[in-house]
Amino acid sequence: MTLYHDICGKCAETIVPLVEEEDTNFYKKVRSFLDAIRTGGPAPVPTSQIVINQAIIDGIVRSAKLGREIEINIPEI
Amino acid sequence: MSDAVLSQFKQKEEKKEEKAGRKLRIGIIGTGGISWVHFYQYAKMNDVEIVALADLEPWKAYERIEQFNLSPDVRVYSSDKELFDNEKDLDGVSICTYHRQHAGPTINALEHGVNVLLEKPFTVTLDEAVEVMRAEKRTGKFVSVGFQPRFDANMKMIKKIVESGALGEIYYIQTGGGRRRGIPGGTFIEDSTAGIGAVGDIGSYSLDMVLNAVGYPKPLTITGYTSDFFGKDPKYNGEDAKRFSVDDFAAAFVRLEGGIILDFRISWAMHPTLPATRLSSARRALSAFRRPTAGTAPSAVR
Repeated sequence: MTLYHDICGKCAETIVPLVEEEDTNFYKKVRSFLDAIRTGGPAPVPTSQIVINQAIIDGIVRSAKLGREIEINIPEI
Repeated sequence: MSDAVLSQFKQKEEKKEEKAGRKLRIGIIGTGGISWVHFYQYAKMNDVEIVALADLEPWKAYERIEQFNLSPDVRVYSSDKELFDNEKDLDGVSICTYHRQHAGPTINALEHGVNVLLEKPFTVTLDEAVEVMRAEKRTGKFVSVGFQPRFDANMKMIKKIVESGALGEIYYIQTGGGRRRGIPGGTFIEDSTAGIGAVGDIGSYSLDMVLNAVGYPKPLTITGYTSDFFGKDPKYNGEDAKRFSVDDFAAAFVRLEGGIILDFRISWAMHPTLPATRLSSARRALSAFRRPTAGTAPSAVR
């Protein structure tokens, strides 16, 4: 990753080192779900966040079909 | 069958994880491609028991039982409805069905008091997502959406950098990524099963990466575009071109709450590569060039 910024008025770049680690993301995805079952929640990746992701995908598809900009309204749950 | 033939299906011996308490009883709905990961992880864990499977094509479920050396007592059903009608003490289910079958089985699970690990994308439409959330509220059970990059150290670092204030107030986000040639097959490419193409399959990852980093602000307006030039062209997609009925490219300009502009584009196939994810403030910008993990930033895939 790179951080772009100025130093003394000059354009500069700082490298943020990537973390190299064993890919255990699938394990963590499943394990965090099981741990949440044991503790009675909350969900590790909750729908309250992902509904916004979905609203954008849904909006892209609908706007593309209509051929114009649309307003997005996410209903209260 | 000879032992040599049978043993090829055996998993390598791995150290089983110890966990106190009774075993959690898990079902898996949809036993195709992505379910492999779920079987593989559950089978490694000592405090979990896979007790029931459902698939429209039950032979797939029986293949998984053999592949993962599961107990012959595991029940197999041909629909989620049949599974929930018969299984009364499940603690959780993994839902690994095609996209159009995400919302229905998830709501069914919640109504039967079962927590859900749902593969991404969450749903096909916003309406379906809202219905799932209403079912969560009604039943007190929860759904976790299967975005494994959330657990990646570099994904967490992006969020950490944003939250540290090192970037300042972000006004412009570019995200997405492009496979030059990377159209999947199977249930991913038909409207009747997938409903959405690249925008849901890999676009959802890119969106989660940046939206999670900036605290998931709500979208206000969207100008979106989708196309299918490569998916429908036999030159790029062979026999599958005939049945291809979803997007292979999407671009959008999204106004988010908090004065943030999100500039998004994603492709399963196109001629150029697409730019990296970048978050910009008036003071600084952060660029994530490399894909930190599989499936996250599709520019490095294929």
